[in-house]
Amino acid sequence: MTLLRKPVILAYWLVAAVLFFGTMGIVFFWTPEESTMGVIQKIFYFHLPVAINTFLACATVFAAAIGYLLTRDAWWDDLAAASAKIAVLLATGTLLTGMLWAHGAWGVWWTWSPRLTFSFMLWLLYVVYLLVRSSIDSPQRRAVVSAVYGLVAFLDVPLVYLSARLLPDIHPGNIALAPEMKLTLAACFVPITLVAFGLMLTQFEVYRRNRAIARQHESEEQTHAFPLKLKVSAA
Amino acid sequence: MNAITATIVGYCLITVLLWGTALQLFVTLKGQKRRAEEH
Amino acid sequence: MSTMLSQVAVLVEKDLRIEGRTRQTLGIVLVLGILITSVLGLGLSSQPQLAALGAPAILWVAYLFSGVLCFEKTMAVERQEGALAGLLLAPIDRSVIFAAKLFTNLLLMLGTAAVITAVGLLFFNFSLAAAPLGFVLVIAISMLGFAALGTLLSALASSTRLQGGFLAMLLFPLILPLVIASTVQINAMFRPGATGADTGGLAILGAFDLIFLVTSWIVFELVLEP
Repeated sequence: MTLLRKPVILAYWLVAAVLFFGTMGIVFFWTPEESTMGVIQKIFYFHLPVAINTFLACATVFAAAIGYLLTRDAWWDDLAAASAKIAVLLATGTLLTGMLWAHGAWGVWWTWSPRLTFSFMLWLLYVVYLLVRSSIDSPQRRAVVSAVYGLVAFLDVPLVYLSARLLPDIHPGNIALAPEMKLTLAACFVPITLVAFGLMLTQFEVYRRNRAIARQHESEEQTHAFPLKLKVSAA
Repeated sequence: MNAITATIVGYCLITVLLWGTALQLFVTLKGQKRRAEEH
Repeated sequence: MSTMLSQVAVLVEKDLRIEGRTRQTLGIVLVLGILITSVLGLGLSSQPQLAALGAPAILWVAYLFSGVLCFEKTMAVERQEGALAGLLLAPIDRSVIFAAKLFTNLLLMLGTAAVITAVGLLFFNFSLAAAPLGFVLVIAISMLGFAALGTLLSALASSTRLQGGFLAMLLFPLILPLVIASTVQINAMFRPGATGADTGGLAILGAFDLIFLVTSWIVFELVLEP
């Protein structure tokens, strides 16, 4: 991938960092406070982008799972593994900020409200994905089993969403956002998405290189084996 | 934990999760490059 | 089409005959289900109102754990004496194997659920009088989805030869929407002041069944391996 020269990568992460901390500053020093919930509502500006990106990461796992099942190419397996790891990371962020919000707004750390329950179940689904991967040693088996699970898990997500909505809700309706708030929210989407996407690609790169290194070791073992065999047969 | 603390904790959390992982990945990548060069 | 149906019938009959001879699956599954129900019943014995309120959830815990055991054992039957290899060599469509396993699992689970429910109703003083048919309908639809997903995942789990809890780990997060929809539905039918079955939960159960029946059917053959 010739696009990913070092300066491009550096620039990408620099822009992401500047936007990340810049929007944080905007949230705290420029955006007005929401009248009904107070300052805790500001968590929302990062909570929602992280939540959306969690979903995107899960969708990537799904696509990669299908890709693997159709082609049996390890490239897809590495993509699935990388996206899942970042999905869990983001899901953890979503869940914890959701809990902080619940505590700040309603005084409880936990409630089986639709949104928190959904966050938790999504987190659980993909944590199990990672556990499945770490339980299986054989690379081919691991790839097949995680692909099937990754496929089924994403198909489950709309059902998780719908069933969570059956639960009683302590959230008031949707909060009305003033124009400055909408702007802030839109702005915050950019750095979070940049970082999430960048993390997925970087993790993917790490897994690809691991595989290449492992393949290199295997072929080296084979070339080293031969001279020994010749020696023994000559003697 | 009052509301302001919770909000700050939330933002610190996201920062650490995302940038902590980024740093960890960069370090891993560097280690891989070094191992590849040693061959 | 009729040959496929007769092939499925043959496989199901084989499974049930093995089951009838050895009774290894049904016996232990029923015992586990009753045990779970008893433990929870004992735990809540000092609070009979709580037990009655918690009955749907408690029943589901018993269904889930005995279900996992049931699915593991029906799939394990194929691992014995290389039976699976023989089955795969036979000139039958893989989806026939899936249909047969699904049917066997469903039959066993419906029987297990019936026994567990009876025991539960007794221990928790929970009466089905308000909506007996509704309850049966909800549980039957739930068991179909449970069995479909359980059959696919038990094949997946058995291909890894991993023991102890792997199937449970795979199945439980995925089955939660089914459990939620089912318990919400049952609570809606039996709570004082209930307005009868709200169709929201039923729709989700139906969707769950449809999605996972189709998916399991398609994916099953990718998963089988001697």
